[in-house]
Amino acid sequence: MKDAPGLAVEPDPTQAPAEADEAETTAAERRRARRTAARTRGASSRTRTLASYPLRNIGTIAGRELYSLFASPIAYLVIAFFLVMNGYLFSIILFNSQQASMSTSFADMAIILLFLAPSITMRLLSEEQRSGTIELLLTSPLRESELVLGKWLGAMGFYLVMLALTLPYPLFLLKYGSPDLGQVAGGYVGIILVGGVFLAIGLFISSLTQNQIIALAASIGVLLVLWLFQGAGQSFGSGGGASLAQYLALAPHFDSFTSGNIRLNDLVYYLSLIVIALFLAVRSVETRRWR
Amino acid sequence: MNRAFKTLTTGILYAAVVALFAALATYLVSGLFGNLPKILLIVGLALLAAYVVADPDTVLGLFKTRGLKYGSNTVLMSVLFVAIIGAGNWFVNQHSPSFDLTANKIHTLSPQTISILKDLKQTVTVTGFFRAGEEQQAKDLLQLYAAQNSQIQYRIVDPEKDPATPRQLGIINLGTLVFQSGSNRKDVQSVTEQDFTSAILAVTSAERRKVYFVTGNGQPDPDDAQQQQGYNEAKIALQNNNYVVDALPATSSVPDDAAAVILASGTKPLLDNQKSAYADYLAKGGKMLVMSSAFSDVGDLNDLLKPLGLTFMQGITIDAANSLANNPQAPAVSRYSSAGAGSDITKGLTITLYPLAGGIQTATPAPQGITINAVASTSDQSWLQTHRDQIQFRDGDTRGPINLVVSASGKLPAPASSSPSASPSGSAPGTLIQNPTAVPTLPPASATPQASSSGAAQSAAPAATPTPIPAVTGADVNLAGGTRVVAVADTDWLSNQFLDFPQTGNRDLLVNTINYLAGNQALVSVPAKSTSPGQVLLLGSDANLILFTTALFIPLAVLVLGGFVWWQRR
Repeated sequence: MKDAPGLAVEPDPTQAPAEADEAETTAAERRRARRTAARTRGASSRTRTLASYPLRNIGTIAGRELYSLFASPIAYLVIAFFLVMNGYLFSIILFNSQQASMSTSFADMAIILLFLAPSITMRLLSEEQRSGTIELLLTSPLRESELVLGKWLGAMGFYLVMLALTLPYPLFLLKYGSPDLGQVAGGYVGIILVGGVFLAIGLFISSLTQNQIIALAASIGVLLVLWLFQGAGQSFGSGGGASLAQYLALAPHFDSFTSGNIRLNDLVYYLSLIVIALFLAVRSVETRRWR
Repeated sequence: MNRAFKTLTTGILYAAVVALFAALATYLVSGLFGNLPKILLIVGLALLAAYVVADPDTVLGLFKTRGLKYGSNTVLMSVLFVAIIGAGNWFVNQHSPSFDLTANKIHTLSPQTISILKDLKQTVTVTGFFRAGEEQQAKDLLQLYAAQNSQIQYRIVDPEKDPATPRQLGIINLGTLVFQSGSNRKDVQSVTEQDFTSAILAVTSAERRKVYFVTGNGQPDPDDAQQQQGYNEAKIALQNNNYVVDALPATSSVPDDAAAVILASGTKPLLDNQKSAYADYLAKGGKMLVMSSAFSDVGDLNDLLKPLGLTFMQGITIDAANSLANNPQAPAVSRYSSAGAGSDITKGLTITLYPLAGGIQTATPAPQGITINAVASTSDQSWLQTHRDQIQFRDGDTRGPINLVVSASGKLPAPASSSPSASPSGSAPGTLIQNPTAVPTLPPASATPQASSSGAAQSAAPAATPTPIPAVTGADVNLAGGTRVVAVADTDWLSNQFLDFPQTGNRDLLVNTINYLAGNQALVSVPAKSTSPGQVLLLGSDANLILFTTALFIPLAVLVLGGFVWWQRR
């Protein structure tokens, strides 16, 4: 993000020039006055746009982020790797089970994402810090929450494009069998949420360091621990600690989606993790103001 | 002096941190907040307090720094935010509805079940026995039941963490769910709405059906818990499935309250009155489980079963291909016929075991009005050996597959006059064919004559066995639906030794068979929902098309696009 997204905002078209008294002045004065008024209007409208239209700011940042991701050949390599792995596993599972189901494929997809999502998020904020553009962003009238949300939505857009390329899988199932489309839809809802969690946590960790490699390794580590927390829960015994550990684990909440029976608590759990991770990322960016 | 004091206070601070860390570590390792963690915690806190008292300026100075001021604010806000979100999660977790997206609504209760649950007036407790991590499916289904009526109370027990509860309830198999209401009890092995609803109906029903074990002709005793050949485990298994079990002495006729009668070949022939009583019972629409073992005297039983087109064959079944621990005299069956009655009898069955079994011949064509289904048979490599020498196929033996379990049902003609057969009595089986040492505990099928039922009557059943005074149904219910017979060419499969033999499903076979005979297999017509996804039919190059498209062509197209973008921006 070299050109500080969010700053290059169009002047607000709602601010129509007030030209009522311009008729009484000379042409030169009119031109001078117009230039001055335009400068003043431009500055004020920019300030007003940035401060008053958070959605537009978020959209601008997300769009820029998405564009910069797809402008890089590395992104295509990440997508291709994701598709090769998932395509191969989907085919092998289908040939062995002979069943028109994607439940196992979704579980595999989540594991692959666990390693790939940090590669998408590792540069999002750490690169801004390393290159110093974060200072520019923080001094602009742009809220930290808008910056973080925009970055996350940009990464989500990239992820959704990646996921959309797996849609031929259910189409193949439809061609050669009768899959339960409700179950498939549930699986996609689940994998979108899991991806959202991975990207949010990756973004938070990216906000903590300037080093992309550290961000990558730490994100994979944290996600792996959260994914495997279930085992730790079982080893805690049967008390409240075990229940808490089992609840905190990422993996068990995914089953209800792949079985086509979406439980509200699982939905809330994933959304909560996304919100918490983004909140912490905002707070983390905010600390740069006083650090 | 000042520097020495500073070093001392820093040392105190480090010691405090180490003590607090050690307290946490010992607590996590031991899993108990015992004396050691407590002492370490107190020491750590005391050292921390000592540091604050000794060097208050440094501590107060810390609070004045800009970083701590803003940092603590950030931490506080974050903790509060996480706490609020956590509380929201806890609340949602307490009352979490679910959204069933599946086409067959496999995660939603049927209207029949909902109606039954709404009318439920008495408490039903369900105890499921699952290893940690394997309980989710049962828990989800039970949650749906409990959400409909608070009278349904359930708990999941992990036998590894709580071994006392399964022992108390006499649970052997993991995955068992015990439905109890008052003194009624029914065990369920599968997690389906059909089975759960049937179990709830069974335990809340005032009527309990009665099953009789015929005794007095040298049959194994249903109260004999001591000997391996006894049938006490079978009796308990039936009681745990809401049946009342009683002995039917040889001198008695079949009572009206008999939902089913279990007749095993004994060491003595049937009495004349028994033959006529059982024949009359069957002709009127009776339900019987009839069993015979290798080389036992089958003349009386064959007379009884003749109208149904079934004949016990003399000899012993040898199956080297499918057998217990490579003992060909103990055939094992893992594939069953699901035609007709087979679907009820073999529901959820794994491997079943038939030590020292004979065989069953079926009439072709079946007698008029009678439907015969061979439910379990041995492998193609098996044979029925009629001689008692070494294990070897000879002329006169019958090539497999040999029928081991056969069902026959239909309307029998008017009771025929009993005609006692004078078939020669076979000598004790297993005397010539020795059991291989691979299964040293395998008993000679009927070499040990059973004592009369009084002999083992004092053997106490486990405390968990329900002993209520039941209400039972009358003949009009028990004889309805026509005659049903399940013939098994073995008497040891439901003995104390083999009913719960590891990795086998003989107990399920017994319960399913009695459920089928007593017409209790589905107390409610909850529609069966297909939970397994549909099959995929891949022919010829379909597999290649899928593999290459998903794992090669699509990723390749993405790479080409990436290359194009890179070329444009180069």
